[in-house]
Amino acid sequence: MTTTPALELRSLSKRYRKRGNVVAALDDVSTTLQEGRIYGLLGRNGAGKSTLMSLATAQAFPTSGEALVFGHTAYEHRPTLATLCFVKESQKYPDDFEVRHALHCASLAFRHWDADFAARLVTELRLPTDRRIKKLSRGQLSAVGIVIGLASRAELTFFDEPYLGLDAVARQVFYDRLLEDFAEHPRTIVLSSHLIDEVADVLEHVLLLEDGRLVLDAPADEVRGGVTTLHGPTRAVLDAAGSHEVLARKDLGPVTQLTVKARYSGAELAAAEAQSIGVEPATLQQTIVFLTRAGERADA
Amino acid sequence: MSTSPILVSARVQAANRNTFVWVPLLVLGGSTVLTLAVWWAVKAAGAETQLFSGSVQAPFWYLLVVGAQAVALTFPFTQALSLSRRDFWLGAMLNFSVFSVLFAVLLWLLGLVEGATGGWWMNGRMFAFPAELEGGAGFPNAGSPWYLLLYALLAMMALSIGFAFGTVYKRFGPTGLTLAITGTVAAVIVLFVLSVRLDWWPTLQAWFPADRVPGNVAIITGVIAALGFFVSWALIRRVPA
Repeated sequence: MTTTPALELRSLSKRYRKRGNVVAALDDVSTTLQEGRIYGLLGRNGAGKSTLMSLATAQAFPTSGEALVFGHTAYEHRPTLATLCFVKESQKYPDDFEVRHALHCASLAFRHWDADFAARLVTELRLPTDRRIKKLSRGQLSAVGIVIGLASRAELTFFDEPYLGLDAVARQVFYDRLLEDFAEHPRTIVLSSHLIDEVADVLEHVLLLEDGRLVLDAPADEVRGGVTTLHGPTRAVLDAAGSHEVLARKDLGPVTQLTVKARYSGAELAAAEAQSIGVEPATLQQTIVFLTRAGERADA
Repeated sequence: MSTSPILVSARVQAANRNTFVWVPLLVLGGSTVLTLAVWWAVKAAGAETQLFSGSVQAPFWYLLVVGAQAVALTFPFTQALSLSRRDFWLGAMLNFSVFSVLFAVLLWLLGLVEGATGGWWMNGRMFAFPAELEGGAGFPNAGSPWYLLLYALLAMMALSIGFAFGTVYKRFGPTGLTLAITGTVAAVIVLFVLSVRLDWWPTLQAWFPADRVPGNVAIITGVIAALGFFVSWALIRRVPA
């Protein structure tokens, strides 16, 4: 049995004119997101993350290409729209809306809405329900999006920089509840983030956008640890690096820090450690930074 | 999912009671109380004349804002709730219609009270303008069903104009809105100049005879309301959230 992908992007592009020049906010992006996974949509500010999510949910219109949600474009299609939830980072709300109005509306609109779960999140995130949305702090505004996104239990849920302005406790509440609820109610979740380490722990798959182009599309585990930093006496470090591609090198007297595109395990790891070389797998964020910089150098 | 998305859309757009209940009542109440106070002062000064006020127009200006904000602020939120553009538009129409009818009933009732109390005990007129009174301009007596129709159509027209220009703003931005407003004003001026130059007035008078004022007003407001809704419908389908 073949299952329809949760989201399929086919040469999706969004261009607009700026002072006579054509600028691509999203440039020919094609990928497939499988059902029941947590995806990270990563990239710097302005890389096209929000554009991609707006196009996928038919909140905006592509210049060319198409986005299929469970096999159908979401535009004006009720059954497809009913599977989606996307609260923008800069979401607009009706004038004078209080938090409770927004949550009540979400309870009407989303068919899988869990009111108890929403109430629990509101308490844990310390969201004042009778405060006007206009008056909320950045973190509280993010919390509204988090409550709607999680409690909607939509088959394909997008979170747009959900941690913005949240304190450390609230961020942890979000990640904990996300993983708990995901385990009980598997669905497809896309987390957009310009801070990669922030969301790295919950991601199963990484999509990296750069200047509107999709430059990395791989399982997180494959990316994570794919880059290793070695440090120790120069000679020993160079030996341990062998023929691996070197991404960065720093020398400090007799000591060298070398970042290589490789995963160290088994005999290779044992050999390096025997030479008392420090072997440190890079974090997801470091890996991505090294890989994209390497890509930029190759381009240049 | 048993509820129709159109009903969900309508309920979302009316979730805050301020929009369609408290603010219109506040504006209406405020303008009415102010008018009564002025009249009382005038009467206290010894005036014996028939008093008129156009203060009933106040809530209709507010309805322009309601129409515009429905698209500028509520529309993006309905998109976040995964409602279609069509369901947003139909929900807005449903709310506008229900509101216009109920609001018209309220103003009609106030007209009845006005008639029964001899113009709020001060011989004043602000909800009904019977023709036999000086300045009544051919309108029927208080309590006439014409007032129901006219107030409902006026409310629909105000909401429709706000809604149409709100849609233009969301689709074409501030520049588009400015162009649309100046364009509309320019078109009205051009039509007026042409009507004088080309002597259309006799024809217009034949179409809208002076002895049928309420019917004429109903037709004109109805046409403008329909035009506004047509514009918003034509544009909303391609408006980004």
